Amino acid sequence: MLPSAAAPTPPKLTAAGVGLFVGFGLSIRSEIDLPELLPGDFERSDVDIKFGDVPDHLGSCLASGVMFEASARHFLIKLPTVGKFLLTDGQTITVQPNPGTDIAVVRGLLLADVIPPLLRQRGLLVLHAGGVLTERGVILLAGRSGAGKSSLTAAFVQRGARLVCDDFAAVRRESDGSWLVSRGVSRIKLWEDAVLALGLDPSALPRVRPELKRYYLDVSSSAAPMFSPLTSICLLDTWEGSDVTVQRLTGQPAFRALRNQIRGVPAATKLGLDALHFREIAALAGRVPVFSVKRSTRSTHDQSLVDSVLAFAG
Amino acid sequence: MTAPGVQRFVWIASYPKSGNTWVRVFLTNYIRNQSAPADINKLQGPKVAARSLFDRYCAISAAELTPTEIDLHRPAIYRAMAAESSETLVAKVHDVYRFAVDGTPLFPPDVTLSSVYVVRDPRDVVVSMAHHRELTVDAAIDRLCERGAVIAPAGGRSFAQVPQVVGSWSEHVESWLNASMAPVAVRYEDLVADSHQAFGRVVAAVRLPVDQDRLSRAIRFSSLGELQWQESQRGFSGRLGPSPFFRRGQAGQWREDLSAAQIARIERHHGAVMAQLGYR
Repeated sequence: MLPSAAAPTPPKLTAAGVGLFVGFGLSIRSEIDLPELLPGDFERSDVDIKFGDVPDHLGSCLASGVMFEASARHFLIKLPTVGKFLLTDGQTITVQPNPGTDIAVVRGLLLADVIPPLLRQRGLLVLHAGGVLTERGVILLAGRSGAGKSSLTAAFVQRGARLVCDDFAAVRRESDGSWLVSRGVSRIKLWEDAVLALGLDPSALPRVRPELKRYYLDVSSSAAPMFSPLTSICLLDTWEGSDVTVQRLTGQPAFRALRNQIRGVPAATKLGLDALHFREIAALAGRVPVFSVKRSTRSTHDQSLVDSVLAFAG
Repeated sequence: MTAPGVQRFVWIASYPKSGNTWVRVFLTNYIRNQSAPADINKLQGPKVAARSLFDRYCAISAAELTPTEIDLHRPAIYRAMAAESSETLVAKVHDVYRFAVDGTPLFPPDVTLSSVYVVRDPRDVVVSMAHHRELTVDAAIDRLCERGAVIAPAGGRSFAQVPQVVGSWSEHVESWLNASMAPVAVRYEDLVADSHQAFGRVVAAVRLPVDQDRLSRAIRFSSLGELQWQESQRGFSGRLGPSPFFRRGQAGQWREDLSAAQIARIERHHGAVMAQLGYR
């Protein structure tokens, strides 16, 4: 069974009515309520999230692309239908929503797509992966969009694993060469068919956006500690066969597969991040076992996939 | 103003199950010009409706965006792809020819080299779709008649694609044949009956020189027998259910597989457009 949602602890508020939260290994002071993160209690914050005016363009732009511009110190994200986000030095996020925008939509985008480039600004490696904590440590469930990361993450939690992160994983190398994963949000985003496959009623869950059949599943009662050791990475994909295949990847195939999972930095080459990424991914692939896990395109049975992953990578 | 882009894209547009994959297998073989058939799972060109494109080119992932927002940003993604590519991008399209809510064409003319529209008798499309999607024939007819129909709608994790508006069969055909980019229209039935002439028109549409030996070999390498053999050995990524993707490949199969009432229903809905294309 999935854990029932615990009554959330209200965040500690500063005198100015700003919330204190912890997540992604950071102390966050935010003018936007972030109930998906655990409440914090600290004097100095690592990151401040505030409302304010955000420019349409950056002055000294190094790279630009679809919905973003980047300079040495800033990363600007623009979604014309919702608003703008300006990330500065990995320390500040300034948010300018369009008038009348639902703040829940702003919060959803903030936690899904604004935090990853902020973590990158802070020097962390961010992977496109969900993460679950089992008895042996964290298994990261990585893969392309639509590979089934979130539904498999939920299936693991249903089996008693603790949630580390959904959507993306911030990983950090320790001085002894081992890797830690920081806890992210305490909810999983699931498409309608994945909710149904878990035996849950979509109409009882809040939607990520009113227009989408994508839902928040609160698993805050099974949240993992702030940091947990990474033990393996599974790269999910689908194939035409009828069963599950699991294959250990090593050397170049492991390196290439992991490099494709880097998240949070479009235009990495223009931003001069390729060499850094090369070193980080090489170190990660050299230390943490990487598995290719393929499920049948016709299978929606995630529990048997959990068994297969645990047998090889758990 | 957006700066004009590089004309890299050749859009291969069609209603689903109309021969789009066959044409791209052929083009892959023609463009690569190798001594052995191309791998059907490694066809030329990007998957322009893949959600993963948003992850690669955009600051915000497709899963977070509404269909309207996705449409608004697709042209910018295609411009970015064209700007960084040094080769022609042969892209499959199942969308109707359409515009984002701000009036921008989804498939930007400034990065378009050319376009090909593949059309197939809707009575045969129904037979093929019923097998491909494990539908009854009547359910497949429903799909071909559904105005504004969407494939890969937001809501399914198994879809690696963004939502695509395919409309009804008639809506699809009319949108492309009336599109300002004026695609070269090729009938599936002509690809079957007169392969050299019809595939030669595809080659010319893609702005490649038409070489008869190369044409013959590319047609041979994309024969139904070759495609079926490869699918039986390696599988095919476009397959959805137990029925093979490359199944019969014939023209006129509907005469055996559809009832008179089913034929009448298709002709009642799509007769006007069918007549324009010579489907009697």
